[in-house]
Amino acid sequence: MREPTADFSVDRRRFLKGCAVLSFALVLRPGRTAAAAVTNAAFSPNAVLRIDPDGAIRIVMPHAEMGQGVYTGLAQILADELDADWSHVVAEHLDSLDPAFNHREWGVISTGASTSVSNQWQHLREVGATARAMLVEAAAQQWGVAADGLTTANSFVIDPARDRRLSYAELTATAAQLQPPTEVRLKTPDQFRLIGTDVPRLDARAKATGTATFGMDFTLPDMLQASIAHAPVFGATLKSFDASQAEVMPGVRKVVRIPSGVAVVADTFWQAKTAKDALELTWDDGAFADVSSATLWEEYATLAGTDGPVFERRGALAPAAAEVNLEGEFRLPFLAHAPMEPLNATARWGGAGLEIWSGTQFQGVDAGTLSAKLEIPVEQVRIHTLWLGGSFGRRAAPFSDFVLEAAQIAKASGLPNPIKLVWQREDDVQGGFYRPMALHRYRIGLDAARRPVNWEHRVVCASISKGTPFEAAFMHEGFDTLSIEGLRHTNYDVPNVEFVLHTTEHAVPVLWLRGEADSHTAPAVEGIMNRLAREAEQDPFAFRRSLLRETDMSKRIKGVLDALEAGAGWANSPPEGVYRGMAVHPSFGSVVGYVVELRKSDKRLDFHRVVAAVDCGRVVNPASVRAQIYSSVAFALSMAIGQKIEIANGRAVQSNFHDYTVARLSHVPDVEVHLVDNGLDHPTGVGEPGVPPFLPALAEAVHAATGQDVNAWPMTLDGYAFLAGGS
Amino acid sequence: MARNLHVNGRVHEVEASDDTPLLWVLRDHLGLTGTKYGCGVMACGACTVLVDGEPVRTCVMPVSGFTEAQSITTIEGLPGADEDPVQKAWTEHSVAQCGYCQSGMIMAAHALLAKQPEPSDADVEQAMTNICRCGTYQLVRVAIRQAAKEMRDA
Repeated sequence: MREPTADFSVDRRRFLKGCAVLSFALVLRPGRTAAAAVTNAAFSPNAVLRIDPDGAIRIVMPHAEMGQGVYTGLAQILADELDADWSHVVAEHLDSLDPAFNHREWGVISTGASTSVSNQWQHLREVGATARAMLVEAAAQQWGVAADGLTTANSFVIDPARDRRLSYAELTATAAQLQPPTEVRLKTPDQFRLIGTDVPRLDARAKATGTATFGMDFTLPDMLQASIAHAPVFGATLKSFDASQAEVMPGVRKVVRIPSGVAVVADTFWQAKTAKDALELTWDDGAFADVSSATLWEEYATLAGTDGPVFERRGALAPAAAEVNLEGEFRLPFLAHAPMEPLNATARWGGAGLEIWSGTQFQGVDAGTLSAKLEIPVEQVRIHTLWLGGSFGRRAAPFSDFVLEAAQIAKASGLPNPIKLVWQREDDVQGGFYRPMALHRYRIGLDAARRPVNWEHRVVCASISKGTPFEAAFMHEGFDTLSIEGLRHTNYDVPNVEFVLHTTEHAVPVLWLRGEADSHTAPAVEGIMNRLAREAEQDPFAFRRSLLRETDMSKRIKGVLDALEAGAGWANSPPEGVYRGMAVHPSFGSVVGYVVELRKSDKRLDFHRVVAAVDCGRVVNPASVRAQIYSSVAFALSMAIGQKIEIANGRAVQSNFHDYTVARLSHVPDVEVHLVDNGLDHPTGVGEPGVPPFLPALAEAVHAATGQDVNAWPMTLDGYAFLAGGS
Repeated sequence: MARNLHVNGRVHEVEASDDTPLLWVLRDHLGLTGTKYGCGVMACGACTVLVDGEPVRTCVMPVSGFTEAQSITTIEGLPGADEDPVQKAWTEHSVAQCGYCQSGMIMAAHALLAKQPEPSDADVEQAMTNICRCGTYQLVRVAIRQAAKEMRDA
């Protein structure tokens, strides 16, 4: 019933000696255990794949499963080329730092930016096809026939001429002796059997029965637990602390100071937490203690009113050409990721080095940080990946904060025990690493025909990448692309453009959150487009089509616009009392558009219908894509109905789910998803691109219903209740 | 202090301080980690179990408030994805994304369907106040409808 423990993995290590795969077994199906399966006759042509003599097809996952469905999607890709029987497929968590598991583009083990399926697409197909070719060759040798007359299906090699077959299970020992072919032929799309189908999630059963072991659930027989006190004010430093009361409380083993706070190690979480609350801590709050949201917005507004560095210029602003100038701004607050599983990591510091068990998106990055900060060779760092209880970017931590803290506590404690550090929800909501607050201000000049001729736009936003290991990757000509993606290189063709970025600095650490910069640039850009369409008295679909420049992406955007317009029945007037808006936005290599329809009765707005159109290239699992769009709508809707982190006296005001708003079932509409095939032959992102365009589509529907402009999120409506029936 | 708790059909003796929330007794003392910690302030429902059939958020309720006479059911105490109509519907529709909140969701759905075999949309909205950050709500609604039908047909 329970998943194997780490003790079990030690046994497996012995079993797998000499094998490229060092994996922590994850049994997703009853009656199929790794212990029963492993013998030296296993066939492992690649670190990612092992076929056992019992037929189990084990795929070690190079990317973290945090809900986005990658375990299933990645397995589908490999298993399709392998012609595997899907019921034999077992997904295994990664517990190796073998470069074979690197992100194929980034060169480090990591998950992010909606790239898991797209970056592995070609590679996993080649792995599957290579293994298939070797199994065919093994069968050919066993039968003494030529390989080219043989076919494969459902984990069998078939000899149609002689009406006989051998299972992959029977061929592992022979295949293991073969050299992989230098070239393999991949399937043509018409030959796909799994890719493009609604294969149920591999983790559906474990997650419906409470048997999936998240980082939070991990345990070892001698494991202790830790709770940590962090600085309440951003940038504060610890002056002194008194642990005399905490140290004598039941179950307490150690109180340790680490750079980011003071941690209590105890037998159980509740003991650790109770003793942590009894610590007496004296902080030097520092300069940020005087800062509030109001002072930050004041600073941002001042910057937005001043010239600054131009990151994009086209043409030359021509004030004389403008008959009318439209001005406006958008404000978007700090947002905490608040994944349902609070951050945690288990660390064991001992003679053999450091062992970590955690749900992290950044195994490769974390290993480097741990090695540097704890001054041990990276070879002595081992990271076991577990299920991630959500992340939305938070578990891709450039400074590896929660994992590093666990390691520092384990080392500082001097205890040989594994120690699980458990953050409280408050540590997460109040701890920073937020989606940066952003202010957009624009001025658009319209000519006599109400076409935009000038577009001045200023973004005020803190840099995410500056000072992190990713600075070189994301800084472009002095601008952090993580602040402006979605605005820069816009596909909308305004002849004279001047885009400015003011990069702010403050003590609140900021981080990518699902949708990244597009989560604030799309509400701005699409909000502007909806306003311009109104000013021009044009249909918003037609207006956008007329304004899109000739690019490959614009062709896809137009395809999505067509599908969305048809899918929503836009040509027909909405029913009495229903008001609608739309938006479309390309991000993460994909294009998503929404039509939002609101029903107005008295002074109340509720959802009538939400329609989405999605081009995410070649679709691996349509059900999974639909689920990610449902998910994106709920995620974006939270941003509309109250979600924000405010700052007062240098601290986060919101602390937990009672005041940090997250959409609940009663708020969230059913979404009708239309998948758009614009002919792309490979997959593109799907976890994030559904988030950015939802808010501007909603804003336009709200405008249609109420006449009110939504230019700040979360939105506040004058005299109207939105989703008043919600909790 | 030591006390007896009746969990998933068995009586367990546990040694925990009176103020320890039931959640942490289940997780750290009984190893029943299917019940999750999400907020610690009864706001998210990840810690929901059934106590005599009623949904209870256990992250605040001290263990001293429970007696052996009360029957506590956690996700581990349900019949499983082959037999339990709710767990089966959850599995067939691939409801879970990250899955962390789903034990609590499933327990809340059980409590709802025990009272209302044919819940209206409003009933579902009122009963299912658990937070899912992945936003699985649309499929939660689908799965509840299917489970309700299967339970009525049985």
